[in-house]
Amino acid sequence: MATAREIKKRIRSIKNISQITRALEAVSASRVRRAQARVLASRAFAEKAWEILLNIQNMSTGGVPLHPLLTAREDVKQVMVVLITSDRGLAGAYNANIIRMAQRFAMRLNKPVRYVTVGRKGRDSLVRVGANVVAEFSYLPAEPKMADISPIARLAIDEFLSGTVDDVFIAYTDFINTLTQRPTVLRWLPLMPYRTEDRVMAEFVKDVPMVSDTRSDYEYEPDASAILEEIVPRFTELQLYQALLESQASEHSARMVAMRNASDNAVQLTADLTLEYNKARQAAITSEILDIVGGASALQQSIDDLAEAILAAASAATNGHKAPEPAPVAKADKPDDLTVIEGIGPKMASALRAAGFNLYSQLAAASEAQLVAALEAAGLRFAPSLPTWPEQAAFAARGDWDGLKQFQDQLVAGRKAHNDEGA
Amino acid sequence: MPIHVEVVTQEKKVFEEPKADMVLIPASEGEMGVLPHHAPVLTTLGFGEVVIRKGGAEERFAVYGGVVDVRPDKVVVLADLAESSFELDMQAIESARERAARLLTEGVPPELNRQAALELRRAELALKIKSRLQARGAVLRIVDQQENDE
Repeated sequence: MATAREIKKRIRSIKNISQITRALEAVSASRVRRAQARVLASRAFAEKAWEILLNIQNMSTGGVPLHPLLTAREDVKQVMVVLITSDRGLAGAYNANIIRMAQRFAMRLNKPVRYVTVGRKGRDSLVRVGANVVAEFSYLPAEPKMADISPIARLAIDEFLSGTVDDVFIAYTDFINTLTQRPTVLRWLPLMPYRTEDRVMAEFVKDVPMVSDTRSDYEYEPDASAILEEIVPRFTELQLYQALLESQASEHSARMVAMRNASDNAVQLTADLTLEYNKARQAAITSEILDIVGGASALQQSIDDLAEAILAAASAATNGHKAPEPAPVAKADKPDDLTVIEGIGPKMASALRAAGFNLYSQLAAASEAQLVAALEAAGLRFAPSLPTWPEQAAFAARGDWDGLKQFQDQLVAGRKAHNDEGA
Repeated sequence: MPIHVEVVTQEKKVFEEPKADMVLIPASEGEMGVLPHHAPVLTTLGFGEVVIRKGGAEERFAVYGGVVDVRPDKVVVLADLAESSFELDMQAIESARERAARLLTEGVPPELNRQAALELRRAELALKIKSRLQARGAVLRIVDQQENDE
């Protein structure tokens, strides 16, 4: 498990990210509304212009071509696809959807395709797959004007009129509502309703709305072709403009939804990590408490040992003034304090006790070899004062504390002084 | 019977008045006054001013080309650019005129030349409209001033 500090770091970074996603969400939400309003605003001209176009087409009898941009070609050798994507990412599947759609459409067409990309994302991914990108328009302003898109329209019209391409399509994303955007292909040039026998193709291509009111008893001033000359280029530009606005509305709403999901996930993740953080923090506190308690109990143990030794010494001291008879009886219940013997410390005493020497009398009867064995069993080193222990114990066993004291006075560090030399 | 009038550009619907009495249109073939029950006509717009009259009030728009769809009960002006004559930005127009005039005198490639000439005609039209409007003094407008500001 990660430490509390690491988790805290992650929580902080997630909170920072969620601030960004929240801000992006708010920005996108307002942009969706604006782009939407602009699409609606430009629809009035489009509908009217389309109405007039159809009207003139209906009126024209015979196969006389009215305007080159209105004339469909029988033999389509090469097509152009204008792919509208966004410049920036973080918009969910928005770009992926329209790019995939455009590529599937192009594959279905089974004709050489010249791509024109509007938006950085589309350009990058088409270039990556090695598609034939003939022009790219990136970083259009956030609120494009007609003037911003007219170079794109100019390019398409020129290529179409010069015969380089015989069909021009716009691949863009139709804004349906905030949650739904539909990748769509619109037949742009020639300006004619696109009819195809291919069912699958028909699914891709958006139908141009048919206008019911098509009166044909107009007078034309100065003549029909002059009016077409005015209307056709405008209408051509406008279709691209509208596709761009629809795409922008779609982009912003896709981003809004994606960012909302990201913000929600960040909240969830923060909650989960906070829980984990608290667990880690409590685990750390618990282990600290355990350390303290362990240390305290070890300390307590040594204090207990010391207290026991003092008590034993005290009781041994009082025993000296009592009658010697009851002492051994008492000592049968309670082991004697072996540390009164010079040379036996608490460690030695416990080693001897472990070997069965509980009483002074037992120690007095012990041989030197037995004592050495007892110490070695406890892993202790041979004590130099060992030979005198049975003698000392014999005094203690008799309760002759004065005798013991006198004997111990003669000893040097628990050993017998060499009397012959010392004399 | 009143006339339903719409002035529409590519970017937005500039004006709509369902009950106008008369519309003056600067058609390319000459000025055209449209009253109710006019014969259906499709015509191209020249440079000029579209005037919509309703009672004593009127609304004026400077237009610079486009198409007009005239029907007995409806007039739709599809303009390349339509600016309300009352709200022309004189400073922008003046600077545009100077820029265009300078480009024309300096001599530029034909493509730009045409554009500059167009720009110059636009600016001159706007100036003419403005001065004429000022000479006439206060005009009662169809569109409420406050409403228009929003």
